[in-house]
Amino acid sequence: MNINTKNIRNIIRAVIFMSLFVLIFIFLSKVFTVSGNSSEDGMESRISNAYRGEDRNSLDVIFIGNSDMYRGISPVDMYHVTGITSAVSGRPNNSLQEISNDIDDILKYQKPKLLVLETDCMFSGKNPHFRNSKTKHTSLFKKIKDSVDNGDSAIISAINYYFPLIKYHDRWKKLSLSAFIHHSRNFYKFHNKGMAYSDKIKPYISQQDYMCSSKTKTARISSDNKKIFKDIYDKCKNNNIQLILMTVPSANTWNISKSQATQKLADQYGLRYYDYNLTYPQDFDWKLHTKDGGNHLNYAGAVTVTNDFGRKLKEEINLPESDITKKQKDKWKKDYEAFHKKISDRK
Amino acid sequence: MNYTTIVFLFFLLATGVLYFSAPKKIQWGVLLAASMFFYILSCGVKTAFLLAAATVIYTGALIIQTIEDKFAIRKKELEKNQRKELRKKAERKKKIIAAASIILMILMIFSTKYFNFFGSIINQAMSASGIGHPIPVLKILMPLGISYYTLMGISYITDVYRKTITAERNPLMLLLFLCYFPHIIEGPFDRYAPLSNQFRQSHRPDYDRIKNGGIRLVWGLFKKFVIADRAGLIVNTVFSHEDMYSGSVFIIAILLYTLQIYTEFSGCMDMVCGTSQMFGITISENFKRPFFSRSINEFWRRWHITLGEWLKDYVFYPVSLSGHFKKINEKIRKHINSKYLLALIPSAYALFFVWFCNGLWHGASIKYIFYGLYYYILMMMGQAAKPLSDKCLAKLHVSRNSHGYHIFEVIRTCIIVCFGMMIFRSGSLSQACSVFTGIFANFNISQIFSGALMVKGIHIWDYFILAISFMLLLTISYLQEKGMNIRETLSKQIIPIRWTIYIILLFSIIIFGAYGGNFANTTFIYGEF
Repeated sequence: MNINTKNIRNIIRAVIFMSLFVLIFIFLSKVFTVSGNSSEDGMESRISNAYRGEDRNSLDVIFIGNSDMYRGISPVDMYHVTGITSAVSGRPNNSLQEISNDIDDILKYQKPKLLVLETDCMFSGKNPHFRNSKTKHTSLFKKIKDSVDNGDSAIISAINYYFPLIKYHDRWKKLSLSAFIHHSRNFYKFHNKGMAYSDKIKPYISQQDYMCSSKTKTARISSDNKKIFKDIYDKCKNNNIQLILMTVPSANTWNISKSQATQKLADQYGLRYYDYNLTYPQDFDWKLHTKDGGNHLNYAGAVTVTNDFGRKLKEEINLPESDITKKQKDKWKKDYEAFHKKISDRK
Repeated sequence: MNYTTIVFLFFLLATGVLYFSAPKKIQWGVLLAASMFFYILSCGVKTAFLLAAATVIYTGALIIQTIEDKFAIRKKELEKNQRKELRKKAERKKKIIAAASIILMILMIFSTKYFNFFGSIINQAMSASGIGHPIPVLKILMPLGISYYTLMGISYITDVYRKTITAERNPLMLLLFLCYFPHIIEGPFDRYAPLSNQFRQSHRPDYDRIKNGGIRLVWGLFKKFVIADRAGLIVNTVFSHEDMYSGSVFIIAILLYTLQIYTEFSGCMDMVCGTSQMFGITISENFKRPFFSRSINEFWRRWHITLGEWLKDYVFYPVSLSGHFKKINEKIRKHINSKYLLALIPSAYALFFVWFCNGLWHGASIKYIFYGLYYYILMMMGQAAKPLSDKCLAKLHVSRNSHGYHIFEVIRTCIIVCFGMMIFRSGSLSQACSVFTGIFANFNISQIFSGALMVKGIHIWDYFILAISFMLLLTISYLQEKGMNIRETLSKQIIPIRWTIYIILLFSIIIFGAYGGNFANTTFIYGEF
C-alpha cells in the first residue's frame, strides 16, 4: 500500500470516527435533555416552562421574552380580572433565536390565540457570552484575550443551544432507562404561571427622560434578528396565532430609538405594538414600581401593566374569556388564591 | 488559556495546521509563536519576567561559552603550567558569570514567589525585638510558570558551565525551550539538549503519533475531570470545615486528596506529553506509577521525577562536591570511626538541602518546608534503622524479596505518602496538626455512615464513579507496571473494540466529568506553584 492510500484510509477512518462521535452526542443530548419542568429535572430556568405544567391547549395568551417580561406580567391577576388564561415564558438575557425555539416548544403543549412578544430581545446578540462582555476594547490584544477568555463559555453555550448534553450531563444520576425510549413526564405546576415575584422597591430617580430623542443613539435591529423575527411571524401566522409586540417599562434598557425601530417593524408586518414606556399604564410610578432602579418592575409595577394590558385585550383586541372547563376554572381560582396567600405570608 | 478548555483544543488544531504545513526549517518558529501567543494571553505584561529570564541565561551562557572557546584556542599555544594558570582564570570567570546568572534567576523567583514569605519572617523577628515591621507586604501576582522556567534556566546555564552542552547561539531557540506551551504551566522540567535537538528536527504529520498523543491527552482529561475534580469537591468541603468532621472522615478526605493530586498532576502530564507527542516532540516523563513504590526513596524516583532529578543534579551534587562539604567530611572522618555513621552523616548533610529546597519550591510557606523535611526525616530514619530492621527481618525469617513483604512495603509507603499529603493539603501547619490529632482523638467512625461525606453537590453515585474510576486506574497502572504498553495493545485490537473503548472514554468525560453545576471551575494545583 503506498503512502497516499494509507493517508486517505486514515483520513476516512478519522472522519467516520468523528461522525460516529457526533451522532452519539446528538442522541445522548436528546436523552439527557430535560423534558419536564421541575428542578428535579435539572432545568436551570424551570419557571420559563410554566406553560408545560398547564392543561394542554388551555392557555389563550403566551407572553414571551426576557426578564422584563417575567417581571412585568402577572397571568393569575390577569385571569382574575379578565377571565383570560395566560402564562409567561421568559429567561434572563433571552435572545430572539432562543425565543423562536421556545415558540416551537410552546406549540407542542399549547395552542394560544395570542402571542405577546417583549421587544427588548429584538436588540440582543446571538451568543449571550459574547453579548454580555460589555467592555469595549480598543487594542487587538485585548479583543483577542476577551475572545479567548469568553470563548469556552460561548462555544459551550452554542453547543448547548442545539445539543445540550454538556449542560445536562450531570443528570445521569437521575436518568432511568425509560429516558432512552420516551420523554413523557409529569410536569410541575406554577401558581404564578411563569411570573417572577418581587416586592423590592428601588426607585428610578433620574431627572432625565430616558425616552428623550436627543439623548439616545440610533438603535438598529440587526439583519439576523429581522430574519428570526420573520420566522416567528410566519410560525404565528401558520398556527393562526395573533402576534402582538409589547415593551414593558424599563428605564435602563429602553429608549426612543429602539421604540421607533420596533414601531417600524410592527408597521411593516401590520402588527399591534404597545410601548408602555411611551404611555405608562394607569397609576404607574417609577418611584414605587421598580425593584432595581428602573431596569425591572416589581410586583406592584407588574400589576399596573397587567391590568392595563388585560383591558386592552378585552377592549381593543376583543379577546373573549377563555373557554375552559369548570375544573380548570377552579384550578385557576385556587392558583390565584395560593399565589396571593404566598404574598401575604411573605409580608 | 487552560489545557482543559475547548479554546485550547482550537488553539492546538490551529497550531498543528500551521506547524505541519510550515517549511521544515521554521517549524520550531511556529511552536515559538504559538507558545508566546499562549503565554502572552495567559500572562499579559508579566511576560517581561520570562523575557528577562531568557535574556539573562542567554547572555550568561554565551559569555561562559566565549570564555571556554577562547581558552580552547589559546591553550594550544601555551605551556602546561601557563595552560593550567589560564584554565584556573577561565574557570573563575565562568564561575562568576554562572553564579551571577543563577543569582539573578533566584532573585526573580524570590521577588515574586517568596518576597512576602521571607518578609513576614523578618517582620516577626523584628517585631519581637521591638523594631516593628520594616518589610512591606506586596501584592504580587506570580507570573505563570515562573517556578518552572527559572529552574529550567538554571539547569541550562549550569549545564553550559559544566560543559555538558554548548551555549545556544539562537536566542529564540532558547526562548522556545523556556516557554514551550506544553510544559510552561506544570512542567515537566525538561533539559535543553534533548528538547532543542527535537525542535530542530523536521516533523511530518504522522497518523499513529497524533492518534496516540490524542489518546493520552483524553486519558489525562479523564483523570482530571472524572476523578480529580470530583474528589476535590469532597476534600475541599472537609478541609474547609475541619471542626465539623471526625478523624474517620478526615482519613477518607486524605485518601481522596492523595487520589486527587495524583490524578490531577499525572493527568496534566498525560495531557502535555500527549499534546507534545502530536507535534513529534517527546518531553520528559514526570510519573512512573508512584504508588507501586516499595520505599519513600523509590516513591520520589517515580513521583515528580523531573523535580527530583533537577534537585539531584543542581542541589545534591553541587553540595556533595563543594569544598565546604569536603572539609566537613574530613572532620567527621577524623573524629568518627564507625562505617555506619560515616555513610549516614554526609548523606544526611547533603540531603537536607535537597529536601529543604523541595519543600520550599512547592510554596512560600512553613507548611511546605515542613512537607519537604517530613520526607527527609523519614528517609534518614529509614537509612539509620536499616541495620536494625535487617536484623529483625532475619530473626523473623522474613525475606525482603518475598511477595508478602513487597505488599507490606507498598502499603507502608502509601500510608507515609498519605500523611505527607495531609500536610500538603492543610491550609497551614497548625491545621495539619489539628487534623492529625483529630484522627486519633476523635476517630468516630459512625460519622462516615451518618452521611457526613455527602457534601453539597455530591451524590452516592459520585462515590460509585470514583470507585469505578479508581479500579480502572489501578488496573491500567498494574498492567503498565507489568510491562504492558496499553496504547500499543489497544492499537492491535480490531476497529469495533478499539473505537468502542475510545467512545466510552470520551463520553465518560462528557457525562461523568465533574464540571458545571455544583462543581466549581478548577485550575491545576501544581500550576499554582
